[in-house]
Amino acid sequence: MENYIIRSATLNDVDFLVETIIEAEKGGSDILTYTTLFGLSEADAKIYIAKMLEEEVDGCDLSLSGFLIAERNREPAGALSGWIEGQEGVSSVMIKGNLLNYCLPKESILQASRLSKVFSELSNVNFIPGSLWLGPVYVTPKHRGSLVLAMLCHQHIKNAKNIYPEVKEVFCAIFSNNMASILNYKMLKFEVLKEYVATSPEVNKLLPSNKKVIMHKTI
Amino acid sequence: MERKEIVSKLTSVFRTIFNDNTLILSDELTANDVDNWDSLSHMILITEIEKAFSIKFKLKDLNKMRNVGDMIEIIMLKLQPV
Repeated sequence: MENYIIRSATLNDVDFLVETIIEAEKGGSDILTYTTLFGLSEADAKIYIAKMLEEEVDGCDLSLSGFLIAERNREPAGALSGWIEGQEGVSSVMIKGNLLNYCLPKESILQASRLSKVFSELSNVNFIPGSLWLGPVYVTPKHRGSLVLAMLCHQHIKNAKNIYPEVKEVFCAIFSNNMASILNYKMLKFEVLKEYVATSPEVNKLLPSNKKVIMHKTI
Repeated sequence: MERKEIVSKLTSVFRTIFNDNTLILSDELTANDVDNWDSLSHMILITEIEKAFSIKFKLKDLNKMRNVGDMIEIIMLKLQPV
């Protein structure tokens, strides 16, 4: 465990962060929302995700500055994003929506516009201002079972408390098919706070699951 | 275009995107106050606003928007004759 270094991500990590976001989006399934929702190939999705990270906009799950990297022997072992909700007075949904609007091709936005109502029931997550949110997480197969997520999570909480001492809660949103992540967070004393269910049968073609759980713990 | 006219046009866009004909815009309104205002609907909202007002936002303009009031101010600036 002590062989791992936890550090902030830099522009040199973009390729690994793209892999992190893609794997986290799939959540153990074969469904990539950038493909199903935006009509992008996986190769193109990687290009656009890199572009969004390289914009270096703070405050959402696509913010380069929000990612911590676990590294061993100079090799990335895992990454986890985190941000304080609304720290600069702008909600993360607006920041991420701005990035998507700015970086994705207009035809992708049009396609998403036609499909978005199918899963609107999953869209009412309450991002409480001033709370810590954890986003995409990925641990490479070689480093699984080595408490990499625990180290990353612990460091995010420590950093958040240093910068923003009033922070009292940490949250994450996970598709319910991703049992590995749910179990890992339960081991870190997170509890399921709420479950959102989309009822349209089309959802299962677009998203890894029709259910999303919000987990939290007091810090 | 006057502020009142912008608010009226913007209200129409919001009501369409969020499928709510009773939605009333206020300067303080944020994503936390409207059902289904998530990152995806925000992305679509910005695209539709750009279309409705024939403008194109810069990313730095977008990221200054804390609420609907900021959004209106930025649209007014964009519509000012150069």
